[in-house]
Amino acid sequence: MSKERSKRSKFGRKERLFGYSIIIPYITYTAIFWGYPFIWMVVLAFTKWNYFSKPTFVGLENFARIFTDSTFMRIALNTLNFLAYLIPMVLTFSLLFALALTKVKFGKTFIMLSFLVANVSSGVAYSLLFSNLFAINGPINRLLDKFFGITIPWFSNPQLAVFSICIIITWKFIGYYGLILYAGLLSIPQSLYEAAELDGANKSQIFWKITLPLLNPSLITVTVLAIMLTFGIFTEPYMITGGGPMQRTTTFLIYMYDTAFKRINPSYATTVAIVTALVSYAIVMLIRKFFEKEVSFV
Amino acid sequence: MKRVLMFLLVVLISGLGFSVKLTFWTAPNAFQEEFWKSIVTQWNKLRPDIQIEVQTIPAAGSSEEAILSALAAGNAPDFSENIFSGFAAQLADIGAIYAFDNFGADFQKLIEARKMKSIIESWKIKGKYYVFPIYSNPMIFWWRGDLLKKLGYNEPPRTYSQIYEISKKFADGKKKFTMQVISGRNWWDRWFDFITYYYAATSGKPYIDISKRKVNFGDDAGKQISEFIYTMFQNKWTAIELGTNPFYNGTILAKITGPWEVNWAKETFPKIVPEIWFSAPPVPDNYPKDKPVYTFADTKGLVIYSTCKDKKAAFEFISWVFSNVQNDVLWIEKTQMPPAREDLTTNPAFSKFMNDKFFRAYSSFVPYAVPPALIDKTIDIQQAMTTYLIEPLMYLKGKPVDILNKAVKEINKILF
Amino acid sequence: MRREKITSYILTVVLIFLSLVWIYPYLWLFVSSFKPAEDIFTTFFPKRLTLEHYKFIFIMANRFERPFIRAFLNSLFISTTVTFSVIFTSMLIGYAISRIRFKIGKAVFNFIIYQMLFPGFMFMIPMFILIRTFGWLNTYQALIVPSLTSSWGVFMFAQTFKSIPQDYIDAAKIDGANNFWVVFKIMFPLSKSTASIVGLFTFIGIWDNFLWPLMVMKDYKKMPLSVLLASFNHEYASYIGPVLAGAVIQTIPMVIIFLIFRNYFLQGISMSLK
Repeated sequence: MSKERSKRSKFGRKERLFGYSIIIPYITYTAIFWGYPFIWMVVLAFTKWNYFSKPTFVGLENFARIFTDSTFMRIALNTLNFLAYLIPMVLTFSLLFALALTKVKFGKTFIMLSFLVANVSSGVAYSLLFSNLFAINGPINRLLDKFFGITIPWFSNPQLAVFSICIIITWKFIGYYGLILYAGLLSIPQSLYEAAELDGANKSQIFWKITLPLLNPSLITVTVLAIMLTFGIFTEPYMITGGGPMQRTTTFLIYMYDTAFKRINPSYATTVAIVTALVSYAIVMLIRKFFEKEVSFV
Repeated sequence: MKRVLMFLLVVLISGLGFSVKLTFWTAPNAFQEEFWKSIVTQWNKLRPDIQIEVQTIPAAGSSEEAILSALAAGNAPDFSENIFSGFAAQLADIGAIYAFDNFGADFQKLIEARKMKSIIESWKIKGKYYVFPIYSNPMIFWWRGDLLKKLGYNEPPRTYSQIYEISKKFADGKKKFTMQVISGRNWWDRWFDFITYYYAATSGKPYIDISKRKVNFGDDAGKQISEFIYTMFQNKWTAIELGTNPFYNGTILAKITGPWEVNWAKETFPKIVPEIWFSAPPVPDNYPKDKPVYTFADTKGLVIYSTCKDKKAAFEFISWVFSNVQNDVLWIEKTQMPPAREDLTTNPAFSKFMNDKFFRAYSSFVPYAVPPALIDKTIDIQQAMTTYLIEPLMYLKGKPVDILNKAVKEINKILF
Repeated sequence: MRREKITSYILTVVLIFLSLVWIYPYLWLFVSSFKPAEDIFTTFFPKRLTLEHYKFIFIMANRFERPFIRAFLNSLFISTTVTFSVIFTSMLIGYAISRIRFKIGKAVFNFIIYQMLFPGFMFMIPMFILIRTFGWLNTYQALIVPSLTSSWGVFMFAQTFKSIPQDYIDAAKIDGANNFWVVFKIMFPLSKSTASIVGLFTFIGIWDNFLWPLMVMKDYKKMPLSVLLASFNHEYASYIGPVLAGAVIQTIPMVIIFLIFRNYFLQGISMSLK
């Protein structure tokens, strides 16, 4: 008995040493590359700095400035604009995609992969691709002109520019989100459907009363991912529209980058980053509070 | 002991032989890079004690953005080109650049040698000379002479009304437009549209009053220009997006451009090149018929940064390059841009270029080309111009006069 | 029943059509990069194929400091290094916090979850300043060191390891294996799919990374392909052919990796749900 116990404790000690030898470097690394920037972030938000001289403490001035910053308000509206297009588009289409996928007979893998391959494209590359594809005399407009006699100013009309960027993002993520929903759909036990049908429920009732509610966790996941994504949009406006037209596609990250490097104001830029993160967090919390439901299969 | 002395001697000698290494940033433009690479190679052979390394300004965005980030990062070059007047004002303001006045008589000699006495005057910031201008590109309009002839014209139009007339004959609102009115949505594009039109309409009046820090373009000229832009867009005589190479494929009759396009045009569209006519920017109808028209000068130059390791060495190089007129000749050959000197039409070294119609046209405008305002908030001001003036006019969001007044108000706020 | 069959056939056809629409942008991109410039916007099927755009890029590379090959290799180097580092560290740390019986493990695990809550962009500017303080601007370290570990990676491995029965480990230990052996010879083979998924997503994420390299890397010789392509477009936007060719160079490796590892991708999506 005691031999086993001592063996276990011997293993225990070696084990713990090993564990520490991994964790300690990890903690050190995190302290330097996560903790220190975190502290700096807070310091910057409360000071004024221009990279050269010493930072001066200014209290809440940066935060107060956010409220009177018309550009910031414009960007907040832009982000809401993006969300207004993106969330419905992404949810509807990925849901339709997932539902359709359950009914497909053959070629499932081909379909899934075709939609997924959009996801691996690089931001810079596909921004260049789409800005040329949707150019005023690009192939898409040529086709439209041939068949309908119209050309659409995809990127030079303020509202359309927002919409076009949302189209590109939807293109990139439908496969990914759709598959998340698809996995969620598959996890709903078939028995529930059968029981409902026996009870005389029709297709529409089954969908709204059973499928959707049980899909809730996946739907919330997709929504949260889409919201975080929207707050982080940078490459597409930077490469395609430059934030225009009429500043409608300027996003928080573009403003943060501009402020830090073009206007030599890293402290205000950090404040912008913090407020952006808080706002996105708040929206996610709200969504989860009002829409998330516990789901379990008995 | 002897060995120690020998060692010290060797160290001393090699210390004396230690060369200064300077980094020089050139504009992200293939032709300029070529020029500098060949000049610097020559120099490096001549002066092993001052070695220069040429690098290109890393520009995913604008050069100004790249230089400002380099300054922020603490790794700016020793000296660089591609600095325009407003940016120099901004850099001088934060103490990032070194005035050429510090080189005293040597600097005066250089100015004399390169015939820049009056040119350098328009570059004075707070009484000092911080920039050595390299080139001056007047902005002029290129017209499709072949298409104009078909419409019955023998020369390009001069006033707004004349342009309206041509528009009624040529523009169809769908595939054919008269001209490119707005140069783009970036802040620097304002140089090539609104500011150019303003200099033309006012014979070179500054659009910003630097000492009073107020906007000047809320005046009559500004109103007329705003009306012009608005009218062109309202009647669909120009469009927000004109596609790729609209001038060369006949979509538009005219565009404004600088000498940098010449070599590319000759290479890519050799058939169109002989048909090109030149004109100054359009002026309002009440502009005197016999007065010359002014235009914008896209002019940039060299600065030496305050962090330069050896400012005298940098100046020696600059002096060496620009005291020799043959280097300006090489510059023209490589870049087709007029050097910023006053003897372009008279100096025999340049006479061989006068046969080229492009160079002749651009050189003739150099005396009438005005650089941008030496205000430090250039980027902010021009971005505000884009957002509050140009874009509302393009998208027809209100009456031109109202749009102009609002823009003036907003920009005055920035200046203040 | 028949109605269901018909609907399912129709849906299949619609989806396959849509799949083609979805990959059309890639096809257009790839084909266009080989079309002569005038044809790019006019016809879909090229009258002749040309390599002139790719030649242009490579000539640019040698003459004018736009080293595409170098940038490609830079991206490859940085992505590969970070990927290996992330897999390696995530595995070790994941093991430490999930299998080793000590209190600090739980604390670190909770901390990791907490860490994942903060969006990356909050830290970009302070991180920039840190890198600048170290003098690492314009060096490869700036792009590699901040990404050596990934909380997501650790989390994934920790979850996987939790499901491996303790007996495997005990058996190995009794046979005299030390902890390293356990991790590399036992845990790793059992979690190959997690490793592939972590590796794949990390590699693609770093290859795609734009804002961070844009901030810290200004040296043309060291910048990754994403930044080089952006600056190339900034100056040569009117040269559509070479711009598209550059985009192809940036996209093709990812597509190839995707096709090779496609099954792991599909697995990864269902895993990340949890």
